[in-house]
Amino acid sequence: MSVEILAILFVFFTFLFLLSGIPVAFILSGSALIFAFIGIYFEAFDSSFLLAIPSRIYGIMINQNLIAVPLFIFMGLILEKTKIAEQLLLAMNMLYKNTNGGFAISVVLVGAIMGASTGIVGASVVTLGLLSLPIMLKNKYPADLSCGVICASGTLGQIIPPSLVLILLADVLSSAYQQAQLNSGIFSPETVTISDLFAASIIPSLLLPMMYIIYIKFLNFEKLDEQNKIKINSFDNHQFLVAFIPPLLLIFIVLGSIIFGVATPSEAAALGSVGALIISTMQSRLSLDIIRKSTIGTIELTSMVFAILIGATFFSLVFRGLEGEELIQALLVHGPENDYLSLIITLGIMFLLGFILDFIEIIFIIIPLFGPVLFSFGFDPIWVGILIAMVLQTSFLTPPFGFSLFYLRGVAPKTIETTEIYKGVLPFIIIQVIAILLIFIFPELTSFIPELISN
Amino acid sequence: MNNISKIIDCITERMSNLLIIAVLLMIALIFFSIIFRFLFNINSIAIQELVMYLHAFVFLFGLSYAIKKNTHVKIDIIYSKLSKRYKTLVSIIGLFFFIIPTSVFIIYISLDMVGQSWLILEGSSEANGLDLVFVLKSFIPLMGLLIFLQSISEIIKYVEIYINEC
Repeated sequence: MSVEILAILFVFFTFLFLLSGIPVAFILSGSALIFAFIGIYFEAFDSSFLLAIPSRIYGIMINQNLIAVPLFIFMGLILEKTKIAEQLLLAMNMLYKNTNGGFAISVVLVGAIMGASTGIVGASVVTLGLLSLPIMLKNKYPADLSCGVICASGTLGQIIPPSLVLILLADVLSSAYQQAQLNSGIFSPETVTISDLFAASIIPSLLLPMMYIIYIKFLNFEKLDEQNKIKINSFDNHQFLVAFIPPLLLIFIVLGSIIFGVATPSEAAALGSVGALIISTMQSRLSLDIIRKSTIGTIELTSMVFAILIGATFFSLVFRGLEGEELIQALLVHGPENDYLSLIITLGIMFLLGFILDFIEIIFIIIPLFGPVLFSFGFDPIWVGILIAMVLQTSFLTPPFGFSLFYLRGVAPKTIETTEIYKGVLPFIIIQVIAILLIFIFPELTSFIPELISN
Repeated sequence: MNNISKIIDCITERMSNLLIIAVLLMIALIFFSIIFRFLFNINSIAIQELVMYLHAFVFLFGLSYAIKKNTHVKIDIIYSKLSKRYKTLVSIIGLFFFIIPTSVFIIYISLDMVGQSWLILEGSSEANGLDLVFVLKSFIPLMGLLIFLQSISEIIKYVEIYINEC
C-alpha cells in the first residue's frame, strides 16, 4: 500500500472513529497507533517517529506556559462555586438592563476580558461555561445561543493579546520569514517580534467582540429581558458594588500583571486563585467543601485538556511519519500558480487541521512548511500571522470537531444536546468569516497600530 | 473480578487525594514565591521546578481519575442516541482498542528514556534546580500504568453491566 493512501485513510478513519463516542484524546492516540503499525507492516512507516513520543510528552510536562491552565481553571471554579461570578455577571448585566440580550453581551465582555487574562482557550471556554451557562439557562436564554456565545467569547483568547498562539506564532513566523528572505538572496533578513504581533492584533481583537455584540443586539430578546429585570431589581447600590468591584479588581490585577510584565501568565493565574479565595472569604462564601469540589473539578478538567494535547501529539507524529506533510506540500507547491490562491489554500488547510490538531502542533508543523513558500510571494508576515490566528480561532469553533466545542461539552449539563451547541456557534462562525474577509481585504487593519507605535 | 476492580478504584481514589494536595500546594508555592520576590528579591529555581513537577503530577495522574469519573470529552452525536446495550459495548471497545493500547504503548516506549535517566540520576539543567529529573520522567510510564489499571477496572464494571442489564 502506498504511503499517501495510508495517510489519507489515517485521517479519514480518525474522523470516523471520533464519531463513535469514545473519548477524543484516546481516539487520536489509538488511531495513530493502529495506523503506525499498519504502516510498519507495509514498510511505509518509519517506527522511529514513535520514539519521539516520550520526549514530546516530557516537553508538555516542562512547558511553563501550560502551568497557567489548572490555575486559571481553579480560579474560575472558585469564582463559580462561591457564586461570585454569578453576581458579577448579574451586576454587569445591570449596566445593560435596558439592552436587548444584556446578559449575552456581558458574557462577550467577560469572555474578552478572560481571553486577555488567560490566552488559553481550554481554560476560558471551560471557565466561562461553568460561570455563565447555568445562569443563562436559568434566565431562559435559548440553550443554543448561550452555548454559541460562550464558545465564541471563550475562544477570543486566541487572538486577544497576550495570547499563547501569538507568542508561539511570532517565533515560528520569524524563522519562516527569514528563510524566505535568505532564499531570495537577502542576507540581513528582517524578523517578526512578539510585540509586532500583539500590536497588530489589537484592532482585530476589538473588532470581533464588537461584531458579536452587534449580532446579539439584532436578536430579539424582549420577553427574556422582562425575566432578567426581576432579578436585577433585587440589587441595591451597596449590593451592586460588592458584586461588581472585587472580581473586576481581581481581573484587572491578573490582566495588568501580565500586560505590564510584572508576572508570567502562571504567576498571574496563581495570584488570581489566591485573590478569588480572599474575596470569597471576605464575603463569607468560602467553605472547605467548596475548596475540595473546586480542586477535584480542576483535576478533572485539567486532565481532560492535557489528554487531548497528548493525543494530538501521537496523531501529528504519525501523520508526519506517513508523509502527510509531503502530501500537503505537493498540494500547495505544485498546485496553484496564483499567490493569493496559495495563501487561501494554506489558510484552508490550517482551518481543517484545526479540527484534529492542537494549535501548537499546527503552528509548529505547518508554518515551517508553508511559510517560506508564502513569504517568497512577498506577503507581510504579520498580516499572515493575524490571519492564521483568526483562522485557527474559527476552526476551534467549527462543528463537529472544534476543540472549544469539546471543552464546552465537557462542562455543559447533560440536558443540553450536542447539536444545540453546534447550532449555537454557527452565527458566530459566520461573523468570524466576515472578520477574516475584512482583514484579508484591508491589511491596514493589522498594520495601522504597529505603524502608529513605530512612528 | 469484582474485587480487582474495587482495589483499582480505591487506588485511583487515594491518588486523587494526593492530587488535591498537589493543586493547592502549587498555588501556595507560586503565590509565596511572588511575595518573596517582591519583598526580598529572592528567586528560587528549585521552587519553580517543584511547581512544574506538581503540575505534571496533577495532569498526568489525573488522566486515570478522569477515566474513572468518565469526564474525558467525547463526541456524543451518535453515542447519545444509542441504547444502553450499545453504549456499554462502545465503552468496552474504546477501552480495549484505544485506551489500553495507548497506555501499554506509553509504558513501553518511555521505558528506554526513563531507564537512561535513572542510570545517570539525571538532574536539573539549571544550576540550583531540583536534581530529580529522573523522577519526573518516571511519571510518564507511571501515568501509563495508572491508565492501564483503571481501564481494566472499567472493563470489569462494563462487562458486569452488560451481563446483568443488557
